[in-house]
Amino acid sequence: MLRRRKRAVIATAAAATAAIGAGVLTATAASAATGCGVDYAVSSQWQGGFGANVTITNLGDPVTGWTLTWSYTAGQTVTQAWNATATQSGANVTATDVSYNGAIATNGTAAFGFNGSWNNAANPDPASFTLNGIACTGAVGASPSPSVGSPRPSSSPGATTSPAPPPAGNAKQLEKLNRGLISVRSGSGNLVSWRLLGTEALSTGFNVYRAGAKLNGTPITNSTNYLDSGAGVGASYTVRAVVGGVEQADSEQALQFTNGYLDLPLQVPAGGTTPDGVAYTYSANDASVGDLDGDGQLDFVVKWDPSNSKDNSQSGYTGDVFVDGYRLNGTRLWRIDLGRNIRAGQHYTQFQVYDYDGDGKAEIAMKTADGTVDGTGRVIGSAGADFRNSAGYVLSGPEFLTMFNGQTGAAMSTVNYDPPRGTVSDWGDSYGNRVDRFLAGTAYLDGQRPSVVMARGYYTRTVIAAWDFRNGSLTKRWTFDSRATAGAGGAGGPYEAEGNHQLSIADVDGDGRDEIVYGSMAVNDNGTPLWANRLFHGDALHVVVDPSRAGFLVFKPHEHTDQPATSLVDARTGAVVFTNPTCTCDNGRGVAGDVYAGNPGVEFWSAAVDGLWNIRGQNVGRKPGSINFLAWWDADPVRELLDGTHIDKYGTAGDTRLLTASGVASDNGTKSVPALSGDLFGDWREEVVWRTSDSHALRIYSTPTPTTMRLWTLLHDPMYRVAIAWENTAYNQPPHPGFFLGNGMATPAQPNIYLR
Amino acid sequence: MRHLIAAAVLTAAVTLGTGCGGTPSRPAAPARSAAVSPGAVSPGAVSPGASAPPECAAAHRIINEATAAFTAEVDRAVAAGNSGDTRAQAAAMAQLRSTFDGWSKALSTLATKTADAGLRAVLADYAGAVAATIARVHQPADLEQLATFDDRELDIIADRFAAVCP
Repeated sequence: MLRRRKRAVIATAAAATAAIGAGVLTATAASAATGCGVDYAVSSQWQGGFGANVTITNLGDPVTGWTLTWSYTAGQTVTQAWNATATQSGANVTATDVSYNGAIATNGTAAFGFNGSWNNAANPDPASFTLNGIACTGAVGASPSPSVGSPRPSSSPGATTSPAPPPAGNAKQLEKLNRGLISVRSGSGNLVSWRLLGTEALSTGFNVYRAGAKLNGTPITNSTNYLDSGAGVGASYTVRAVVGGVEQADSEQALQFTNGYLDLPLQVPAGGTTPDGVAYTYSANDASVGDLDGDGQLDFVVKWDPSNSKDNSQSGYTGDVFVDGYRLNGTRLWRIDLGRNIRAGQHYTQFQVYDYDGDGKAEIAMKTADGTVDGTGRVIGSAGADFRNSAGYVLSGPEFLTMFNGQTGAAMSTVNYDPPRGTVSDWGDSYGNRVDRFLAGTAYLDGQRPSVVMARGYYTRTVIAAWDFRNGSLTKRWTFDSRATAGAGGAGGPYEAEGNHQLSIADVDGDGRDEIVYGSMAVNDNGTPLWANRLFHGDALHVVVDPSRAGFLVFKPHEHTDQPATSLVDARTGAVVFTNPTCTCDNGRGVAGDVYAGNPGVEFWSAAVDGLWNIRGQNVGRKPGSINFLAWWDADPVRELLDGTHIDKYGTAGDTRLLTASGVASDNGTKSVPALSGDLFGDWREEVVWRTSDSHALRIYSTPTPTTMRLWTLLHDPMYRVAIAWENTAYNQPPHPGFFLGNGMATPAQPNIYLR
Repeated sequence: MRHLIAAAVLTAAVTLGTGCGGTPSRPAAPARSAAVSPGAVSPGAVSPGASAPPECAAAHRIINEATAAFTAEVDRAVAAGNSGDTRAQAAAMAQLRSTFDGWSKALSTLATKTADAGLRAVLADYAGAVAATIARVHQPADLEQLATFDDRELDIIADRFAAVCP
């Protein structure tokens, strides 16, 4: 019989300190005290099995319920628990109180036990524990106070750490990423590529190693890729930066794209049956990325779409929406069930993945409701509430905004969704269509740290609310309401009915702080009206830079038949640069990007207008074969066309197919968009992520084509990075950087950022 | 689902409803106000209100089932197009037309069975709106019109229907 005991607090405290760099554990007067210690003891161990006892000590204010999480590193599995309900997903274990031991007084304890299995080789203790989303460090830390008016949150608050404050100046907080090193099979060799971080000199040299042997003669300084001709499939690679002539430490091992892609395994939720007896199944849908666990590697967040998801104009019940977090190796970190009171469809759930509190780990912000179950099994609000009407719409009941812990899926802060639906007909109809049009984004509203932007409505009334997530709490920064904001004009005023099916974020006035471009209107970084140009609603939106003109431009097609078919306007003022005449139709698609090297700068094209247009309103060529997404895929800086499951190169006589993805499907019906596209790994070219046809994996494609061009990773361009966050919003749009990336481009300025 | 619509079609007195009028260029003023206070509690999966005509439940079912069917068929047609399978795409579009046809006829039939004059008119117009919608879909590129009905006949009639059958 073995008996060993580990007080888990010392190692955990050390890990926490390392993870937050210069961060310190703090307590604030306005916050409840939190803190915990955990005793984990393997009481017995036998061939293939073991028993363990766990004692939680609450060092903070009393709690009325608890969830303890930990991870195993040697494949252990919890098989049976007592005095707790235990579940396990991959290596991650979640233990939740039972009815009689949820309350723990200050300095009180709760204990439970379990039997598990092990591999007969090693059974190491977990390195760390979290209690209600808070690391158990053995010390008392800070816990966020619920916001005033916080709606009956049933989940517990989160982080206890206060990250170091931003550095002086106006640098923006971005992610501390690893090299993003990948090896993509390219002909009979491997294309190895990596990130140049935004904080590194553009001239930084790199050495490439295959299985420890250096491949290049002199450091690579003109690109961030290397074609290892003749190398075998699956060869292992690392890179080392060379700074001031001194070679730095090895990078992480390269991810293997042996067939041109990397599969991230997914766990498909079980289907169900609606109250009216209709069966449904699930497909993976929109995805986003962030460093959920703070290891420098991007992790994925995936929304699951039931087969009965609906456009708002369509009645009927839908299945629940699930949102999962995954590591790249397929380890599922958590699953959030948004519950029956969140309808499924493109316009309902817009999820934002970003490190809002600067602790080095991304959070997830989403609209929630009674019955939402967080990643630890905790229910938000009332578990039994059902607000669906007979048409399947949810037009009553509370609505929340919740910030979830990206590592555990625990709800960290829940507040009332702003704005409440109020009178349904205020939003444009009475049956439930326009009231539930939600958009979301992430913006540097203070010029340094990210805020989450949640919005409602665009057909009539428009409300945009900005929130900060600091020290574990969501706090309101401002609300823009087309009916209540001074200068917005009220009902029927210039800021009504101007919104699109998506938004974009850019510093359009050049003051270092982001604005929200909402279609035919924009809102300043402080929530005040910036401009509205009465061109009304549209289905697509692009905010881009053209080298011939200072500042940003907004291009969009228009839905209303009495409006121009398209417009290009100045993003700072809304003033028209050019329009295409009305088509007396709903012009449902439009794109802006440099796809044609024969024209200097950006081109514009749309569904209802023939030709390819330049910034001067001149038709410069054939309309591309698709009007959807874009991706930098080949060697040059001219962008390619991305539509459905293929990538094409524009040409004056016709498009040339560069990639037909294998075994995958596009998302969102007729929109035919990828789950995600963007510069996620390797050099500055963009990856495209589709779900496999059976949704058992996300298939991440990366270019096999070498390039001689070097750029900082686009993930360290603040405008591009927030675009990756809002890409999933409603009718998905491709990301654009904050500088011109195209034929004849100038070397962009180094990003003004700091890393967390 | 298709079974239900098919059955309805078999028994339908084929009374084609009058098509809805033109498409407004702005969201129309709402026909009624459905004031809902945040936090108000209503029972889940409610049946229509006490004053709703008894045929409302059947109407909701027809609409919900037809919606489920045609959205799946649109997805099939799009997926077939993406994979270059024009034959499968044509089959999906044919099925789509059949669904809309059955949907329209089922609503027309129900309109003849209700004693409520208001509902009768709405259902007849609803049937016409369904027929008018599918009449605009000629080729795969037109499928996008079925992704949303904003500012179209089915959007407007859905608002009217909700006023009679909440």
